This record gives sequence, structure tokens and C-alpha cells, in this order.
Amino acid sequence: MAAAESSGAGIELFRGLSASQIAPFRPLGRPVRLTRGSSLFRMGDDALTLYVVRSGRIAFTMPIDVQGTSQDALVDEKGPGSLVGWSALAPPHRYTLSAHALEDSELSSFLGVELRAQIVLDPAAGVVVLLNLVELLGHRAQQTQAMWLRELQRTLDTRLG
Amino acid sequence: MIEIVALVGAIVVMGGFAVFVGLAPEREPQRAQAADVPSDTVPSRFFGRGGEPEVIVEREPIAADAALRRLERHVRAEQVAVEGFLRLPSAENLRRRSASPLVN
Repeated sequence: MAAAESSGAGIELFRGLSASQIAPFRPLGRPVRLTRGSSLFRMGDDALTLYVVRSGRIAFTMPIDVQGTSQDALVDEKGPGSLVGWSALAPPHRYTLSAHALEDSELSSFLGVELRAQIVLDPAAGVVVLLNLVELLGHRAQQTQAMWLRELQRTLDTRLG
Repeated sequence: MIEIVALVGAIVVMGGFAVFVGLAPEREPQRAQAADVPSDTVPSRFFGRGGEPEVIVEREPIAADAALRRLERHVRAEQVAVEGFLRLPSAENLRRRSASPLVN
């Protein structure tokens, strides 16, 4: 287990937890290795598992039509310490994009059902984990909103001059 | 005299066109080639099940791949630009230009 992960430092989801609070979460993580280009999950799959990137880089893609053919276009990418697959924590537990390794990568996988059970078991730690999740999702939502508005602005500039 | 000027003009125009074609993206001449073939000279099922010239279909993945690479650079550049807005939200930071190849 990487040093950052064993301490919990540098992992978005567990930021702010004490060593004793993070201890019960640690055995829930299982190592996953991906070679470059390997798929982690596909859009529409049941979101049973949440991942923490330990090394490497994970790309998120969504389908886009390029010259009449559907292609996977990059919409985001995450590196060490990042959370991947938060849909495993929130209903309807279905991945809304696809993920694959941009390079050889190592991750820790957590079953959503086990993580949720641990959050309920230790509410004090659970609140910290959920607040971290809110912060992450809030940041991603704001990022998406801002990017969307910039594209809207360009559309307006192009169409209306 | 007029004929000579006209001839020189025609040569200049043809030369300019040749330069233009030479500078055009790689796939453009391929499309032009395929489009230049009169449809009535291409049997609809000659060497293929469909009526479309295969040369265009075979070039598509390369062009699509290049488009995807440009999209990737666009997304990354836009994310960097947006991070500045998220750190300090303002209309000016929201409109700040990115280094994206698609918008510059």
C-alpha cells in the first residue's frame, strides 16, 4: 500500500480523518492494476465500486459523434489521490461515463455497499467522508458549469456575432 | 500582347492553385479524388457491398483520431482556464481565453 494511502493523507475522500478513524476503511480497499488502455468501467454499468487512484492516470470519456461515427471523447482525467466512480456511493448507482487507464495505473477499489456500511457504523468519520464527497462533487459541478457556460458563450458569439 | 498577358495570368492562377492544394490538409485531396469520380462510372457493388468508395471509409479513423486529440487538448486547456475562475470567480475570469487549439 502506498505511503499516502496508508496514512490517508493525499486521498481526497479520506482527507481530515484521524489515523484511528481511517483504520477501519483501510482493509476495505483492494488493489487493482490496470495496464495502459485498460477499461475500468463503461457508461451505463452498475456502479458497484468506487476507486482511489494510487498511481498513474485515469481518463473519463463520453461518446461523441466525429464525422458520423461515435467516439469516446475525453471529458476529464484524474491522478494519484483522486476519487473515481462516486456513483457507487449515490443512487441510482450507475456510471454515467466510461473510465480507462491513460497509462499503467494502480488503484484501490472499494465496494460501495461496504463503504456505505462503514460510514453508517462510524457516523463521526462518515460525516467527514461525506463532506469530502460533497466538496469533490461540488467542485466538479462548478467546473462543468463554467466549461458549459464558456461553450454557450462561444455558440452565442458564433451564431449572433 | 494581350494573349501573352492572359497566358501569364493563367499560369500564375494555376500555380497559385497548385500551391494551395499542396498546403491543404492531407485528407482534402483524398476527398476531392473520391468526389471527382463520376458516380455513373463506379458500379455500385464493384468490390464492395455498398456504393460508397472505400478510400473515404478507410481514411475516416485517422481523421477522427486527429479530431479526438484536438478535443483532448481543448478539454485540458479549458479545465486549466476554468480553475482560475473557480479560485477567483468573476465574469472576467470566466471569459478568460484558454490555450485550446479549437478556439484560437
